[in-house]
Amino acid sequence: MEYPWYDKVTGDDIQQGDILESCPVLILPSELSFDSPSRRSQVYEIPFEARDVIVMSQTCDMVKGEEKIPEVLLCAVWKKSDLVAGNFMSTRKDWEEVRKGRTPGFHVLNRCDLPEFKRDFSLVDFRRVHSLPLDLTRNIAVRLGQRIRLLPPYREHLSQAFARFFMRVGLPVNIPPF
Amino acid sequence: MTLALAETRSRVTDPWLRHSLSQECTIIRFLSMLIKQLRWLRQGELESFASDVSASTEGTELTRHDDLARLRLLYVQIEPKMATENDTRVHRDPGEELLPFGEGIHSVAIGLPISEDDDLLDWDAYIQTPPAPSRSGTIKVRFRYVGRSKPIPVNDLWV
Repeated sequence: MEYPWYDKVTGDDIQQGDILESCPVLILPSELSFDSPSRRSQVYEIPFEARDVIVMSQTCDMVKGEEKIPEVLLCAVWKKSDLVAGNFMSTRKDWEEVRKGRTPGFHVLNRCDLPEFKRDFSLVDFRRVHSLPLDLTRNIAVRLGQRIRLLPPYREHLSQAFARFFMRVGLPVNIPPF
Repeated sequence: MTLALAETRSRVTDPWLRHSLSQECTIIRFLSMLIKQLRWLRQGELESFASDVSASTEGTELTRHDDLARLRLLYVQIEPKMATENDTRVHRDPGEELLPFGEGIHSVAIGLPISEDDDLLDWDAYIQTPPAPSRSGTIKVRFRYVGRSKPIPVNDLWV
């Protein structure tokens, strides 16, 4: 029995594990302020970037007609080839550490061999999260045409890894080694 | 007789103090073989080691601090036995040559300390500079204040 990692999907049905390539995300500047009325009427230049993102929100919260969330939680996905030498995740050892689950801030996705969607290994970055309105996310998905979706149980594995990272607790005073 | 076998990964970088790569490979290969055979012993698939010594009880993996270093040790109860009488392994490819047990013990006995950090998770690893975006730009916006956001009214969370 085969357990494929990905499937090709179209349309505005959004599920956890959907990968939206070149999704626009706003990078709000630190000087942004709404403190005074004059500031509120000011025109800002807001940078945006096209990032590959993966949907982290639960599928059951995004069922059409029964939406329970207005905004979708997304995490950045970096292609292996994007991570240049000299930085973290540029070596095989780094990838192996993440694959083994020793680097909880990241999660490795398998390569994709679907026709027209051949992709190398990629890295989900739990420290770079974005949210977009659900309606806008649906529109972006429709405009993409075909896209790939991470399938169970790999998407639950991803979700669990995110939860593990998010719920981490650092102790101010740890128990010394026995 | 109890034999303590120390795992051999090391962070010693001084080439005069550190094992050579081939030595470390040999030791790790030997330990892997030993652990595998101990597992078979527990599962009843193996009566004893094909070696000049054989295990009579299970091995125990412990981590111990001493004055010099933190060592991960594998304690194995052994008793001498002739190899030719004990070769009853069921999982062995023909022609496979196991590392001589005595040589393994000799190698392992000079194992080096391992780092305490080996078992820890690296919570702090992060990508400082994200990859350059395929497309970027700016948009001009004027924000319109519409008041504080309200939660979505939900009658029954479980429907």
